[in-house]
Amino acid sequence: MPSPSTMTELLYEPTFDSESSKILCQAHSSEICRKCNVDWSEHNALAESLKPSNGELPPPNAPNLPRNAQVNRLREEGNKNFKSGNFPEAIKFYSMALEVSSSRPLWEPLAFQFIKEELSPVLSNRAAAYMGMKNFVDALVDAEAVTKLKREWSKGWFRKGKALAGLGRTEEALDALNIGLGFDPDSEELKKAVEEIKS
Amino acid sequence: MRARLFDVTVASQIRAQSGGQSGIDTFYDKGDWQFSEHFKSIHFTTYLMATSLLLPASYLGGCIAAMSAFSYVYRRATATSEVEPWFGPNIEKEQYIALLNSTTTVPEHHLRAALLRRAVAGVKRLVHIQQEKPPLQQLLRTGSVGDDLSRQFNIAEQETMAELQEIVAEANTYKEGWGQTIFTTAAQMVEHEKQKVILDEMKTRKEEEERLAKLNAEREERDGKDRQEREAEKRERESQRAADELLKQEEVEKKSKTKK
Repeated sequence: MPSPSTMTELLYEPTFDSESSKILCQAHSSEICRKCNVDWSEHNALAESLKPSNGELPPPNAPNLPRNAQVNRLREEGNKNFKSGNFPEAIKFYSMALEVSSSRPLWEPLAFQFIKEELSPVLSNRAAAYMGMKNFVDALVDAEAVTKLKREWSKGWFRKGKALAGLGRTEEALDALNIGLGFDPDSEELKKAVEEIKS
Repeated sequence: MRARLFDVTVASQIRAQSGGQSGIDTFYDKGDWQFSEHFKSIHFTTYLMATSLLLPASYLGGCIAAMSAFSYVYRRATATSEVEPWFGPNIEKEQYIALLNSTTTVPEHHLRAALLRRAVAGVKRLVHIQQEKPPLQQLLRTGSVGDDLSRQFNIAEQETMAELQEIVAEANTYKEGWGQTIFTTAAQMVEHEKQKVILDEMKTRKEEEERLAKLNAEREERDGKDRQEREAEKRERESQRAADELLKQEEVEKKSKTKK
């Protein structure tokens, strides 16, 4: 009888499928195999993103500038529409910016910084646009993501508070606004929002 | 008793021979007594030693035997129990090694991706170790946790460090100098992964919030309906009462008319 360690080795036996360019379990030719207790899906996704450069990584301090420029252009377009009051169009551009920004491969240099700095204003503005259309559920989801991406930014808490107030959940709204005031005690818009809800 | 009698008779004989000198007489007498008592007590102690030492000696021996038996069993039991690992199995490492040892040829970008994932796992472990070290040391100093835990922790720390060194060496086999940057990339990936989770969660959050908003709307609608129904009932009851009163009044009027 094989010992447990040799058994796991047997189960781990992978095979490279040249057709799909994926690693699969040898016994059942599947990516995620419950019988073999293996999951190659995350590995295969990462390998796929490294395939064009044959696994070569760019240096970790060299950002992908074209992508940043593209995201910024879409964001500006959204802002323009937002200012002119065309909320559906603004939401469309903000969503495209989100799409481009979050399609970065995991290993892209400094991606986490760019995502934080780009997506917090994009999502915050999209939340404002949704609120302009009285769609408070989508606004709440966006605002919540902003508070998670950039916790210390009081604007995210302001949007979340506003969205919750729009949904009629005043207690939760006050909680969110107070957290925002914890990060930025001098914020005028937060103070005003608290007073509006309390009155 | 017989010894004493014998002693007395010997003493009296001596006394008779010596012509009744009182000083010597008393001396002998005393000396004999002491001698015989001493003689008797030797017998007594040997008897005592023989019987009473047996009991404590056997007690002590029993204790030692029991203790050594316990110590033997206990040591054997604890020696075989392994140190509970601080981390679970390192799946990324196993996957990388599995790919290296695969019987089929695996293209290089797959091996590099697997090594990168192994580096990400290593960075996550390092972060754990660094975060847990100060509070664990604090707990050890105050005596809140035992030595076992600190031993496990030290083993985990050493293993993690060895794993990181191994990754650096592996990375340099693909490209000279990759070992110097692989952990910077891996640390950025850890942060990036957290953001991906937040963005992915937005979809499920939206579903949850929509369901909640729908429930709230339904409840309000139901409350509104209830209120309307209640008001309608109330109005009906009031109109009924008003009609009854009207009838009564009419009857009273009729009665008063017939009386007249």
